[in-house]
Amino acid sequence: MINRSFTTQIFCQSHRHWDYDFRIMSLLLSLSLTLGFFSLAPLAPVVAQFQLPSLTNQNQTDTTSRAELDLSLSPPVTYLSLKPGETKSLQLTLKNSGTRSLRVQLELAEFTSDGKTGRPVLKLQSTFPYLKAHEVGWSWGQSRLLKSGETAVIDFDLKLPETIILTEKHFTILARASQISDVNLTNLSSNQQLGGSSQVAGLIGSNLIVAIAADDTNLSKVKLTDWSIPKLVDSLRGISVTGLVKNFGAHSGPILGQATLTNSSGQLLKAWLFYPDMVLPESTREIRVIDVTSDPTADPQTWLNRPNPLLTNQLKYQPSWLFGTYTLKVRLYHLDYTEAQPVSAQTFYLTALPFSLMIGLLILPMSYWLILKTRELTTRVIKAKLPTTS
Amino acid sequence: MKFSIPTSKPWVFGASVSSKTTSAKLGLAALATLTVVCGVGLGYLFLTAQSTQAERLESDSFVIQFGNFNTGGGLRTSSSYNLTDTTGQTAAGAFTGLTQILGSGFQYIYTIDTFNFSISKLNIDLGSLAIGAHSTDSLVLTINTKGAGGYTVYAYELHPLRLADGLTTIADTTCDAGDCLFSIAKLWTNQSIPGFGFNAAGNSVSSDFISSSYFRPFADQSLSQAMQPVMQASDIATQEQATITYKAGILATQAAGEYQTGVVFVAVPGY
Repeated sequence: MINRSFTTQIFCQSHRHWDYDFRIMSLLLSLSLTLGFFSLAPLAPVVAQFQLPSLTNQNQTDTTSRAELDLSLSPPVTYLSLKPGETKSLQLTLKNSGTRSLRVQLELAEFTSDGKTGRPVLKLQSTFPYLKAHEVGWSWGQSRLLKSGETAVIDFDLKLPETIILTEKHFTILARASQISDVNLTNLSSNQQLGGSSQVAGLIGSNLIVAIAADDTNLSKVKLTDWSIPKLVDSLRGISVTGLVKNFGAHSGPILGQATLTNSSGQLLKAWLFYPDMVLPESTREIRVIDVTSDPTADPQTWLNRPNPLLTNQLKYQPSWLFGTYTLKVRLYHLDYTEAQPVSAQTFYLTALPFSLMIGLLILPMSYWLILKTRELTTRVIKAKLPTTS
Repeated sequence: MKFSIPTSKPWVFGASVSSKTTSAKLGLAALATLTVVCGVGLGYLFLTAQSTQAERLESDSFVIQFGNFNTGGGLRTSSSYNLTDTTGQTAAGAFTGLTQILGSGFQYIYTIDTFNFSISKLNIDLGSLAIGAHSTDSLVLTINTKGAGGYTVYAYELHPLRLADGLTTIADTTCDAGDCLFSIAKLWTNQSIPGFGFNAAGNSVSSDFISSSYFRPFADQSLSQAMQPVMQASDIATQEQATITYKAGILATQAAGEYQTGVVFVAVPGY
């Protein structure tokens, strides 16, 4: 009896202390889980955007020395509008700043849109017969020498027949440059050693967009098509929106537009100016914006004329806390209209609520309850394992 | 046995816990209450979401009311655009608004910046090829474009590394697991696996080049494979560089001789 009573007493005393400590520990654990959740939740978008630094670059060669092939071509992009039967001139400037004299030949390729950016998707070779260089030496596929340090001005004529179909053509004029002398393969093939080598050639391009139209009217029709706008946003995560426009017209046209974000009391929180990227006919392009919140009343040209405008494809608003209803107004303008007449406008309503906070509040009691349950089960197991004395 | 936490310490939402059963019940009660609160909150949210509507207005006569955001200034072209007349000469007042330029149809617009592309060297020498060891050599591609449209650099080979007879070749690599393609780089570190391929490292290289151990074969023009981007960006590029490392390995049965190919890099500006 004494033994049993003593054992029970010890167990109860130790259990009481253990129980009290355990409860404190449970609460601390629950709190840390909750706090951990809150501290990590706002980091989620940051973590999502985080990319591991490149592990490469180990073979970075010294680039301070001049390159063997170094070509500059201007203009990079040309937009031309012609009527059937009309002729227009075009001029390209090609400069060889490399250490080697190069054999250069011009090629004409066609390109299409990738549907998202302005990076052309090249289709080598074009059969378009109406664009020709003035000089025979610069005819398509004809090689000619471009010495190191030399600049060549190449003139083209674009002469359309009367019967040509009204459309828009997208070309890239490519200058293919390679070394003057090829390695003598016959001599090398007699080499009894096993070796490998590769010659390198470079092509540099200039894009040419040709609208063939009955008159000078631009027939672009750029409209808002697809927006990734969440209706509900988390108070701690901020607002992030991307948009796509489509040109339903027959000619390339720029994205001309603006967007604003206001809160429920109508206060302007953010203002963006769309960068006037060109959209090819029947293709889409992602909107890029300049954040003009710091001076939304300024003439848009002052923003666009800045040397390196900070462009982003996301309309972002990420304060430390969001709550309530927000209004995003997006407006696009058509070239033929006056500036006060948008071709399309859309208004989106976003609701911000503290989802992560609510989830966190759920985690706290749930984890506390789970820990208590675990403890209860552990106690039962310990009790069951204790030796019974009679 | 009875144990308790002092009631002066409201551990769980102001309620004291006096027993295991009570604590569990209180925990459950708190959980239930929170669930109800959250449920109501979410319900409200979804009800609110139902009221969300997009206003699409497509009218020639729509008059914009845009708060304090100035629309009167209109959108203008960036300084990287220029306008010339139909004979190709630069017009006076070149930086006219894009709306004005294009509103009456674009006759001749061009970007006034320069697109620059350089390749550090034009001969790649893989040296003597030995069985069970890969040979490498590299070059650097550099891009400068002031245009905000960005650029793409594509690459392709004329044919696989081959002898002058045109028949004996070193096949393009398929990488360690035989799973890399001319469009997807994979791990290639096993020196006993032969082939010919390349790695790209540096600014804006294709994302499949996860590390310097990732390789892919060049797109083979002789097989009509489409050239593949190795480097690209959608914005202004200032001195953006990529190191292209060529790598080759051979089989024990490889015939002696100098294996050659030609690799072409195509740099195109964005529009």
